[in-house]
Amino acid sequence: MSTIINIFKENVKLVSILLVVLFSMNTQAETLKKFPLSDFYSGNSTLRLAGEKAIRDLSIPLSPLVKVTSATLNIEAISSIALLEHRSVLSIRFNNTTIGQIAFDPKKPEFSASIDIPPSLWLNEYNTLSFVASQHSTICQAGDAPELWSEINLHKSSLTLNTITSIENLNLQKLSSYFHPGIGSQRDVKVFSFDNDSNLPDIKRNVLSSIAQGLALREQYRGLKFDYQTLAQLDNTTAVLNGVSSHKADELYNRSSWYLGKKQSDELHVLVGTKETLAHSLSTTTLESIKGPFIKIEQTPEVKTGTDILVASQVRLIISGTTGKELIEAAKSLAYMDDELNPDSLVNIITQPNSAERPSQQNVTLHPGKTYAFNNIGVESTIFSGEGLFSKQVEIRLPADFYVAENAMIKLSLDFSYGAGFGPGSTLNILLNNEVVHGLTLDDSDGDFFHNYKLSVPARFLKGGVNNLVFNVSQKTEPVQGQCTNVVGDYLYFQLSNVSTISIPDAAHLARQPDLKLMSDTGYPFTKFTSDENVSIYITQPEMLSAALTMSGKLAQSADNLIPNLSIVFGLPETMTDNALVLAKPSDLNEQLFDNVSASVTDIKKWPYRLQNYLYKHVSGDKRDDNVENNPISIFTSEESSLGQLSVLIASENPYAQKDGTLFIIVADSSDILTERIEQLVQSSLWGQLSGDFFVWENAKKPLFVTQISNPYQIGQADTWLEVRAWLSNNPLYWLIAALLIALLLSAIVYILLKRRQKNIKAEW
Amino acid sequence: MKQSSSLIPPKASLMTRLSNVMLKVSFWACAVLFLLIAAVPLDSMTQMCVSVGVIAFVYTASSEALQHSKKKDLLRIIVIIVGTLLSIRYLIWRGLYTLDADDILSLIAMWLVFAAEVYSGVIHLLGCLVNALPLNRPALSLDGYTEEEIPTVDLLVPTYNESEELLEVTLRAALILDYPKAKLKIHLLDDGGTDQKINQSDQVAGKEALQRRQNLQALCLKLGTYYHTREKNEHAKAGNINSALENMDGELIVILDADHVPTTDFLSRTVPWMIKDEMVFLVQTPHFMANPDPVERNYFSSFTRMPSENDMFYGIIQKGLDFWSSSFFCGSAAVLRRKYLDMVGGIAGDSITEDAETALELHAKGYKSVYVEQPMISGLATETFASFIQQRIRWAQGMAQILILKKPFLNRGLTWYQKCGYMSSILFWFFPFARLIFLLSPLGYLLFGLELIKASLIEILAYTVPHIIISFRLSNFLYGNARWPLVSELYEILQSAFIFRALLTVFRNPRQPSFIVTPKGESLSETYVSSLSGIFYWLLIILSAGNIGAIYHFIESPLTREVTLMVFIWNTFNLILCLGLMKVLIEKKQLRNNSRLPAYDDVDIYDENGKCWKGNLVDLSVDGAKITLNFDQTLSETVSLLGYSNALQKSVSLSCNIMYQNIDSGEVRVKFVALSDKDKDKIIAYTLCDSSRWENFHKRRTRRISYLYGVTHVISVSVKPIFLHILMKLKQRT
Repeated sequence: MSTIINIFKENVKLVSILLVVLFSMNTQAETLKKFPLSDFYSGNSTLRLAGEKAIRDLSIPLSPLVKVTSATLNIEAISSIALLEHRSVLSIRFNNTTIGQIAFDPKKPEFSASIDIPPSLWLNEYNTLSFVASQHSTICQAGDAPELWSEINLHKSSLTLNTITSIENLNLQKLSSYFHPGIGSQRDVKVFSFDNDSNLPDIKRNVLSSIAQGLALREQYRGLKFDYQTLAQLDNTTAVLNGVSSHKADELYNRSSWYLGKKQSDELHVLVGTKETLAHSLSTTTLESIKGPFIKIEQTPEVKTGTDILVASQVRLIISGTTGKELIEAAKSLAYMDDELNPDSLVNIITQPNSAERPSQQNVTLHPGKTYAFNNIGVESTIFSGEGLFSKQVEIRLPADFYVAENAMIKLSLDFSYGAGFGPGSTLNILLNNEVVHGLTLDDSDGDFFHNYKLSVPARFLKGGVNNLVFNVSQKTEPVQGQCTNVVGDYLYFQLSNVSTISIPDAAHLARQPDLKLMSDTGYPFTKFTSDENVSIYITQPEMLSAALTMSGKLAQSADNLIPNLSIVFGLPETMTDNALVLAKPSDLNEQLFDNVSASVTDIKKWPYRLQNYLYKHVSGDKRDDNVENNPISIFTSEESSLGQLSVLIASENPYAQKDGTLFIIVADSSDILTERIEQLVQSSLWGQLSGDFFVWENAKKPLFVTQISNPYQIGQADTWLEVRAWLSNNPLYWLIAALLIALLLSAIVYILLKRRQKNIKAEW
Repeated sequence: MKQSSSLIPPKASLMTRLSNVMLKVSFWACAVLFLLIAAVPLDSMTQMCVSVGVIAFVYTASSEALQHSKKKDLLRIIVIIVGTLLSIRYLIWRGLYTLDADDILSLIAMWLVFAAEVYSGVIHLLGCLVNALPLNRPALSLDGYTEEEIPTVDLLVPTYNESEELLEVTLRAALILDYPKAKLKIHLLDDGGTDQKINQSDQVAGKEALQRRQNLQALCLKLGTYYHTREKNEHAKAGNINSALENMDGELIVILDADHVPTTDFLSRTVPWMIKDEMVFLVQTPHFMANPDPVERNYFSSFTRMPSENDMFYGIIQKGLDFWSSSFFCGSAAVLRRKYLDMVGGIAGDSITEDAETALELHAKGYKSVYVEQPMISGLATETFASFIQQRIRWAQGMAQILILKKPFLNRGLTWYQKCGYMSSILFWFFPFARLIFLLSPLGYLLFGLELIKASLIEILAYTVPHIIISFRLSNFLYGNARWPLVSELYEILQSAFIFRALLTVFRNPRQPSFIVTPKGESLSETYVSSLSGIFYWLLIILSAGNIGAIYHFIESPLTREVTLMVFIWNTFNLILCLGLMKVLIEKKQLRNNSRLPAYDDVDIYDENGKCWKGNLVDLSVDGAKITLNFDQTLSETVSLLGYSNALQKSVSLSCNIMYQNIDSGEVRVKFVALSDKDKDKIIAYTLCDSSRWENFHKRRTRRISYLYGVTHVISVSVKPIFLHILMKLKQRT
């Protein structure tokens, strides 16, 4: 009887486990989050509203996976004491719906307000919070009178949100949503594989980096932190399941996210392994689906014993294949695929084009020597109407190693027009990377139309990577005579057509190195326009693999594409890839790695102290800014010391390269510190500040020390002529010496020949 | 040379040949490397840095070379080659990177400017080659040669319309040449008294021609020289000479223009070169001008202090050409070997510069030329701007004819360096094409918005400006003591428009231009505005419009201000030069028939009573002299001047009339009085036949000035002339 009871009890537990598994697919947990408004504004923390009518928008991104249950906007602001009390109002609109109005009170210029944003107003992905100020100081006033202002302190103002994660019909289309840059999306990814996987070395070397890149590319620009762990296969689940052991229970437990425990999470994690290795961890259906390179997103079962949750249900991304090679293919497919085209929860990749045929960078950058219509690079026709200052930005992404002669020109052929009634002060200014390259007064009161308006702009305004071409249009009405007369400029109309073209000049592919800024902007030299070379991240400790994945993800974000031949290698071989990144502790490094740089971080530190060197202006923000001092630092102090909580990033010419290349070394005293620092480094706040070739930091806010310590050199592909040009431009003394030597030698020969002739002539006298 | 080579032991000969081959191979290897390094592009800032380095080097080395350094020849070559590096580099950069425009008109303007720059660059490089090591020949004399060794000479004075007085001076000077009388015959070749002239339809002119023939025949009879004329005036000066040559048998021919007065040592210094080397067909000497040309007189007023225009050619370039065996015949003041002249049919006549053409043909046959630097002929420069232009047009057209008809660059008889020498001399005359482009192209940008160069300001600063600096420095280094800064530019602008048109006629029909005798000895009785001024007024107007356009551009187009500023500076430079040359176009009154040149001789003045005062010459001409005299009483109206004549190797006494005297200042001005033929000979010998006088004067004014001084001088004289023009034009109207 007891046996029967026991069997019943076991079955009840099993049934209860199964029931829990069946009914726990869409767990919803509410999350409270508070964000300062400065998080949504790229400028400084003060939003100034000036003039009679001022509108400023903040974009509030929201992950498509979350729903807002409640939201409150807290505003801290100050207004001019000159404003008229009953006519001056600050309206707050959310997605174009007014959610609050605050009257400016000159007696209480500083004020705060709390406004609820109805959940129904929230849209998926992108929302707009608008501050609209109507400001009056007298009945009759100039629209741009200086006393008409108010300011919102974005740092103190905040947005508090209650959200729940809501996933309906989990499939691969949702994958991007997890890494959406908006509120509620995922910032950390855990990656698992089994230690008994026969392909584990391949996984670590080639697969993980592709997965990290693939997921980071979905994150777009915010750093994604990776945490990699290897798992041991479960031998005996009985103890875990409180003695309830059966084939089915074991199977369910194995299929669950047992390695994550019972903590509920809305985040997606990744399980990587060959079909054979994952046989115990996947359902039979899933296993049967694996026919080749395989990607699947699934909700893992929750495992309970009674009311106790043993294993929480999680969203799991499975990267698998029948062989190691297929694993690599699956990981690359993850990086390449557009999630929108995959409404299923799983895909088997049958074939994919050989990525070696065309370097990946050529898919994301404009090609030198070609002409592009604006609509071909995703720029639509633009219309500005009304009075004010309008701006249209055209992003021109060029190869990182874009190198042209200084007299090369970008040619713009613009089609634009403006309507009648433009008044004095109406202008079109064209800026390239924040430098005005052309201006035009819109001074025909009857309007004008320009077809094939040709502009030649020196290509020196361009840099490798992302360039911004901005059309700023100031639209003003014609002045009207008389007091208190005002014309609303609604009729003002400017149009920039998308048939306008831009011609990129022919260019060679050379880049001055070392340059951390170029690396942070474009991922160069880990990825190049000309070829997908093999590049590696070398780690000296196994625990650094997570940091390496975080870095590979960030590099892919900078490159805006997968770096297909990026591998992660354990140890420091005698020959490295030409361009490489080393993650290490000081004790793991030797002096030879720092042969080409006047600093080193081994057990003995060589520090280029400020007072020993002319550090001032040693880092050029713009590599083309030749006015900046570029003399490398040559003086350093050797000392025996630790790094403490610091991490150091040094770039220099790679002494272990077979050809030319740059070696990046990131060092910290321990693997933990290194991992933490790299997680900070990949955040936009710090990554954007990378420059020079010597970068020290200890938090995510700002670097401690940035400078240039190496001699510049260039790498890349160009015809020999341009390569010589680049090299000599970096080393002008060589040209001067060579030129003078050749000239002197030639002079000596000519002198001897002339003197011989003179002697012969004189001999005849 | 072959004979002397055979005297060298075979081993040495082999060594010499080997070393020659080695040197040549090394030269070509270095030249290739030189071109490669010149072609390697650099970033602009780097280029600017290396340009500064090269300029500093060239300035230092050239200063050292000018300071009579022991190694000045080596330094000279170094300066030329290092300096050339920047210029070649500039032209390569221009050709490879700066010729691209959006519109066809800009492209045309761009290529025109580039073509002008290439032309200037080629002329500059050829100039550097030619003048790398100018040849300084020693002064030779006939001392030591026996009567038999000294060749017979026929001295020819071709004339067309020159005055009897002018010819008499030349013939008398020829008669006192220091040369065995039996070996020298003087011939007057009169083309103004030919049968054709006498029998022309214009009876008055015919009578004048007949009278001229009779007068000159009488003159020749009186002086003991030979008079020649001919039936027809065919082939101008060349035909005149060739016709007369049929009646002569001298071994050597000396040709003197009618106004070219030889010094007594002319033959004794030149003929030895003919005796020494049988292969020499020509010994050329400089043309020393005893009066200023219109530019020197009207613009600089510094004839006695500044190098003359032809000092650069005769003082430097001919010496350079001599080094390369390509100094050429300049029509006068030269000795030619008759037998070689006969081999090419006498003086060539296909072009109107028969002199250079003849030399070219004889050089091509392998004969040699010699250039003796010492000035031994004094002639007359053109007096008016119009005749100056007429003379230059003839030279330019003649050189263009030689280029087209004779094609020296394809002449197999010439060595490569002779080809370079001739091309340098010929191509120089195409300067109007480049000069007009440099003058007018800034207007293309300023008035019509044409793009002239596809380059940024920093590139212009890195490439163009160093090229200009180094070119000026090299020019100043090579020619500085014979040509002051900006003088070449002024001369070129003055001639460009006229020569440009003349050259076009040559290109249309190379045989069309005919020989026009350059007017000499014209009188300028009053100051007037040259009739050729009109074109320069237009030039001034459009250049001024260009600067107004620049101001408009500067205000209206803030984004192109850098470029506008550069072009504005360029146009203003042109404008200042044009304003300055307006002074040349005001033909100044000239009181004296003959210009006085500085002189320093000690002289004694005797009055009618035989009382003597000692003094020094201040200036001197064939008409009279200015003297500084220490005298204490009023001089009688007629005095005698006793001075030592180097030409006659004895003291001479010249009768003079006192024209002015001032006891306080000691200044006395006298006019020479020739009472007899002997007096005339003495005056001519004393005043015109002393080569040391010309040499001293030549040395006195060939000196360097700083570039800044030259520029300051040009700017300082560029304001006033335009107002003078307005004033004189208004006066002419009233």
